[in-house]
Parts: sequence; C-alpha cells; structure tokens
Amino acid sequence: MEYRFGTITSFNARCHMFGLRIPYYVWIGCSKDDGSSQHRLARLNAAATESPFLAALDNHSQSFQSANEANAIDIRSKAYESAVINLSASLPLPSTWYQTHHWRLYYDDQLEKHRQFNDEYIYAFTWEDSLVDTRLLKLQEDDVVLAITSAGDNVLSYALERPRRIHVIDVKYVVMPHVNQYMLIWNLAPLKTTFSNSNSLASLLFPTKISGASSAKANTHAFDNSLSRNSARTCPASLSNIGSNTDPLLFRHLLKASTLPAAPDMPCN
Amino acid sequence: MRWLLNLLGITSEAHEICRAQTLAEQREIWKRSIRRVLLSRLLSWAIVSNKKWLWRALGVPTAQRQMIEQDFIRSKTTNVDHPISIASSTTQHCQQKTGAQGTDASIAQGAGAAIWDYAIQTLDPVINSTLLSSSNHYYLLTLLGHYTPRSHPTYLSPKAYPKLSHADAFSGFRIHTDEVAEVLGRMASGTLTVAVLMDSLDWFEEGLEGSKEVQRQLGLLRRALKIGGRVLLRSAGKQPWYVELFEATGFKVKRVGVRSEGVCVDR
Repeated sequence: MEYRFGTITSFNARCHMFGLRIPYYVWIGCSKDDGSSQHRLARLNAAATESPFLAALDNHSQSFQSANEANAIDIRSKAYESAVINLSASLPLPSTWYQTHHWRLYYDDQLEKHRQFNDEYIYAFTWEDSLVDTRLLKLQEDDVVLAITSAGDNVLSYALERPRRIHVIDVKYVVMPHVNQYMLIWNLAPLKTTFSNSNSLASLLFPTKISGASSAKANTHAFDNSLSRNSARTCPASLSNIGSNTDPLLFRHLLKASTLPAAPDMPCN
Repeated sequence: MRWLLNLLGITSEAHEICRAQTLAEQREIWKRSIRRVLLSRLLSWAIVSNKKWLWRALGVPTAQRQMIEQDFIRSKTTNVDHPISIASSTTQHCQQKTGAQGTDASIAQGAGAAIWDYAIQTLDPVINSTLLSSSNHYYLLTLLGHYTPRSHPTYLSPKAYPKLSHADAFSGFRIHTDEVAEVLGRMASGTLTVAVLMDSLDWFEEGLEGSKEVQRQLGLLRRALKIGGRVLLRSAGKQPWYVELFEATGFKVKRVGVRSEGVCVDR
C-alpha cells in the first residue's frame, strides 16, 4: 500500500485485551496524487524548472526563500530532496507531503543517528528554568527562535510568548514526549465537547505518570499509556478506541489533526 | 526515582517535603532526612561516581562530567575569579550553571567527589530558597513523580490553556529531527533572532576535534542568526572551554548568571 498510496500515518501497537498482546498495525493513506501535495510540489518545481536536482537550486534558493518565507518547507529542505528522489522513482511522496500540519518536518526515520537511542528519550522533563529563560530572552512577536528540544517543556513556555516562529531540534525521533502529545490534545481541545463524559481539564493537564529520566524506556510507555488512558477519546493515537462510536466527520477531523510521523514502531498506546 | 526513594526508606519524607507550606518547614525536612540520605557517601559511591549511571539516570555525558571534575580540581587548588564578557556584532548571553567550590570536599574523595560536590552546591540553595509545594515543580516532579495543581510548569496553568488550545497556537512551530549543525546548515541566513543551546556544547569533548566541531557549528549559527541575534547557553562548567570560540567567531559573551555558594541560579 505504501508503494501505491500516499501514507498519512501508520503505527504499530499491541492490543492488551484478554491478557494477550496481539500486535496490530494501523495505516492511514490517501491517493498519492493528493491535491494539496501536488499544489505545493508545483510551487517548488516552478522555482526550479531547469533541474530537479540540487545543484540548480542554490542559485534560486535565496530569492525563493524570501518570497515564500511563510512556507513550511523551504527549498533546500530534506523534504524537498526526498520528494525529488521519490518522484524520479515514481513512488508516492514521503508522508509529510500528505499531512495537513507541518510543524513536524520530514526526516528519514531509518537513519542510524535517529535510531541510536532506540525508542527511548533521555530527558523526561527539562531542567533548565523556564522562568529564567523568559526573563532573559523577553521574546517578542517577531522573534524567530531556535531551541534544543530536550523534553520540550521550555519550548512550550516559549510558545506562550507567541514568537513568530519556534524551530525545535532533536536528533531522536521519539522527541518531545510533552510537546507532541500536548499539541495533539490542545489541538483537539475544541472537539472535546463532542464526546460524552469527556475528561476534566485537570486530568488532561496533570497526567499522573511523568517521572524522572531514570528508566527512560519504561517511562516512555508509562507516559503514553497514561496519556491515552486519560484522554482516550481525544488522542488520535488511540484511533482504535474511538472507532466504534465516532461519526465519519469527526473521524476525518481526527485524521487531519494527526501529526504522528510515519515511524514504523512509534511507541503509541 | 520512586524505586530509589523506596529503597532508601524515605518515600514518606519525600511526600512530606512536597507538601511543606513554608521554607522553614521544607528546610527542616530536608536536613533531618532526605539530604542525609541522598548525599550520603554510600549513595555517591554507588551512583554518582558510576559513569554509566550518570548517563543513564541523570543524562550527564562524559565530556560534561569532565568539565565538572576539572572545575572541582581548579577550585581546590586556587580561588580564581571568573572572567566576564568581551564585545562584537552579535551578542550572546552566557549563563552558567556552575559546579564545585571547596566546601565539604574533604568528606568525599575519589572519582565521585566532584559530582557529589556539584550536587550539594545545586541542591542546598534550591531547598533553601524555593518552595517545592508551590513554586519549584522541577524537584517536586522528581520526588513525587507527578505535578500538582499548585506546582507545575507555566504551560500547564489554566491561564495557558486558552492560549495553547487556540487554533494556530502551534502554527509557528517547526520540529526538526536532526543534528543541530545539520538544521543550522539548512536554515536561510540571517533569519534567527534567538537561539537557545542549553548545555548542548558541553557534549563536545575538549580538544582539537571537539574544537573543530564546535567551531563549525558556531560558524553555521552565526550565519543563520540575524545581526544582533542572541544565543542563550548553559554549561555545567565554570569556565566552559568553548566560550573563547564564541568570541573568535564574533560573539559578544556575557555571563548573566553564575552559581556560587548558596546562590540559586535555576530553580
């Protein structure tokens, strides 16, 4: 399917019903000639018609970038490079191109540098004092911030100041346990009223299981589990939970909000 | 951590310190039990002096450990004052979390002494000046395993909720999954106004190879930054060896915080 369709997202998980650990795989795709991806590609191609490859792009990049500063995918991005390679082999584009949110930029999840930490994260929370950062940085609306993610707590406090852009960096693909998950929750917050007996704000805000970095592996799962337990009806990661009582419109909404990277063994639920 | 507290038999004390309503009460609990146990020699020998544990449990890489150890040696031999600031086109905030000074050093000898000393220098001021139950969620989280409605990061406050659940709250976000140098290299020049490097430069080993890597990264950083852009970094070292590389690249370096005895830089 991944050769024939565009992949929006996919994940592996296990079902713990009946005391078994039954593996299952969810794949969500679309037509590989999805409208929006075509549109974006066309814009990029228009800027570099002579050659689809990078040598030609250097000359164009400068002017092109300033014209398209708002565009999530800049011309020298890895996403573009991968798109060119996939197109030349007439394969579907990488999943970034089919997803509707572009805060998570394309990366090749098979590279050793992303895999060296296994499925673990090193920092379960950020030690650097966010109040000190706020006081020192005094972020303004036109600031463009680049920050190392760590666990993502400070990045979220920067977001409260609403700078124009925040670039966050991490070499691990299991990044930002907080950011990724909280973004999903916050993004779905308006939907929450749709669900019956939805969880209180407090239970969303204070998931009970965040602990120190001590046993990172266990914590990853503890955190994911606690989140999906607390917010089973709001986290698109647990699509299986909502499948039965969801109307198609809502389902589509969830898909739209889904930003999970297509990492094959993303620890999810 | 919970497992460790259990093992040491101080779980109830840990819960109590997280409930303390006044600084005096908090100090009292800290002194009578937790400090004694956490900073005991046995524990420092078993965990803190163990390189693998430092990395696995506390996320302290080798190069950073070496910086702390060097500072410790330096502080034992001389009482040097720390150099501050120079000038150029771009400014840089250089905030340093610092380690050891001579106190209590005679108690702990050997490989873990520096780290042990660092821990004392870090923990004591925190307990003395910030209240876990209401304003220091960092240590509360480590001891309790969860935040509380009174003690939590700002982004989890009821006031932050409407801001962050706003439809385009994250539209300005770009999550890059790659090395810092790689990301900087692909960034259009002169676009960044602020870069927060945390303690990432501490990961590079001091020496010719490390210098080269840092220099390359700083070059890329300088290119990506706007004129007048700011860099905020933290270091476990008192005098990070790479600060002079910043200066060589054309940054103005200013130390905005340094921890000396009894002073709490970060919560």
